[in-house]
Amino acid sequence: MTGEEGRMKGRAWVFGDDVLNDGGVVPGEVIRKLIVDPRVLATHCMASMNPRFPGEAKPGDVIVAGRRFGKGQMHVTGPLSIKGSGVGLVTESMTRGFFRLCVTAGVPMIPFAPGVREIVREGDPVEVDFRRGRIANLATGQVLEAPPLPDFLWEIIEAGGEREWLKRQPQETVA
Amino acid sequence: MGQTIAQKVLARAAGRKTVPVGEIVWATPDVVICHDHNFPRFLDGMQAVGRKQIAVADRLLVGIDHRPYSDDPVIVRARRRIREEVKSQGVKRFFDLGEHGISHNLPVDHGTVRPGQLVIASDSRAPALGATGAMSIPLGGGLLVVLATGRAWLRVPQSLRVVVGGTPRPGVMSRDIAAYLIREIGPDLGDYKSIELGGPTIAAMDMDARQTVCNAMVDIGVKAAIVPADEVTLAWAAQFDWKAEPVHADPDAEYERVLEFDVSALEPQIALPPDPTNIRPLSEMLGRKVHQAFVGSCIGGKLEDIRAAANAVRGHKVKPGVRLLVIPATTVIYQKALAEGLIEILAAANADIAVGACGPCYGTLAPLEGDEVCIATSTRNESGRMGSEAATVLLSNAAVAAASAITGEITDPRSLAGKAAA
Repeated sequence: MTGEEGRMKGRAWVFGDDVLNDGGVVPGEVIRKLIVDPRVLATHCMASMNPRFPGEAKPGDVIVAGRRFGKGQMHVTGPLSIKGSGVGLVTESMTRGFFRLCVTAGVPMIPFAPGVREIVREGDPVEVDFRRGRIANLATGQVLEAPPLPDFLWEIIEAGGEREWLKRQPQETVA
Repeated sequence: MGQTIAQKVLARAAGRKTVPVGEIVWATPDVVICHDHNFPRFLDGMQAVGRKQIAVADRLLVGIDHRPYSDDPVIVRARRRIREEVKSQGVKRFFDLGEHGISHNLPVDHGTVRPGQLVIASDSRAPALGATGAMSIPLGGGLLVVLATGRAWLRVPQSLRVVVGGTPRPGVMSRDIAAYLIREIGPDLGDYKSIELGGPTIAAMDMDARQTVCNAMVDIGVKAAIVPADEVTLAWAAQFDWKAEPVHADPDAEYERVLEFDVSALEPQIALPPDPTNIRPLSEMLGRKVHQAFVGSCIGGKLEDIRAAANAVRGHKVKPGVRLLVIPATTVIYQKALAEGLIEILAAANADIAVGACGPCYGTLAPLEGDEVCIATSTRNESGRMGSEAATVLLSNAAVAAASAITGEITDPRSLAGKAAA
């Protein structure tokens, strides 16, 4: 869930291209343990990429990553770990599977922000407006505009993911 | 403007005449597929959102593939729950132990999916079923919305047309062609696309080989991979009690790109970590030591793979200190392999045999320890895929994997053929 009006303000955690879902966002071992609680999964989030992340990342921080984020198998475990960490996600590009899983889990994201790593460095303070697709580096004043998600998908993410969104749907109208 | 197969399938499933690329539609799937790894979690999800009845129970297939063999109390409890739930919900297509198998292969055995259908599955490898001419899309955890409402939100993808020509050389299998195609197409072009496969090489492929190629496309991020129905598809469909109604693209359908490949000079390939697209010719990899060989998984446990493994080890024994694990992907494939005498050959070679499990491809049954090396026909090879983070998974065709278990090192099966057993 995001803060006021779909915005987040915090520290940037920067990663490269081709971050895997299983084996990158969370270790494969965690997948096989069938853990689904986002708060528990948060203790493994991005640990294989940066061991400091699970202990130090705070709600409002933002993962900034390169191209093809979330490659590999389509397990929702990775997105749930990001949701549990309370951080946002801005990537230069995201794989189709991971994009879908982030909607399912309700991860605030700007999935297609080419050039974001040119304006954001590891540890920079950033502010992200997910609804408008705007990323601001608060240290340098640099700003990047990227296409925001369609309203329909944002509605699901704002609800907290597909599960929470489903609870709000009247049963007789959707079957 | 003409429509691609993806556009036609999604338009029909959304109750529309046409759908433009890029639009998100609500579509009603013809077949929904789930397996033991995540079905219990979806049942939890249904409870959490206050829905009792699975909206697609009449169209749902539930397979047992991730953990058919397990004494883990969590799995044992989940298994009983699956059995009770499919019964009370009226899910007829449940394949319990003895009929079980990998959920991407079961529908080909049983004719559960048809050309032109919209298939929605929880598991990543769903596009494999495009071999039947269907559009088969993986949703992961998003399957809950389908189980609860009967519909899925789907973005209409752009399409690529991939035309493959050339007669493969002896020893080159569908897996080698698939590995070559995904390396050449690449994830930048493949991501989010529907790929329509054609050309003389694809036309000459049987259903097994077509599954291999469609399955491998998952590793470059496709939404669907489709072999439009042809004579091979119709011959396969003829064994079932329904009539195929193939869907083809219009002649003026719009493709983002048309890519042409020739596989006549291709060698068998080995994929090194961390990704199935990281391939090298077999000839450059010969002699590398392996501790285990695995012939199995949705992509590499089909009858063509079991046959190739049996032919490679015929008259030989697995080298002491090396393990060869063979897992036919489904019980039907196992029964066919038994009838062909393949299981007898494999057993005589000291292969370990299980049935209808993802096995090491899910890090179970025969996980790797420490820095062990496994040569496998399975889907992926990132670190930790088969257990130990320090282990190495190399991917190959089934003949190469099985032959390597005979010598304990990466071996060209053609070099074993005709030689007396050691």
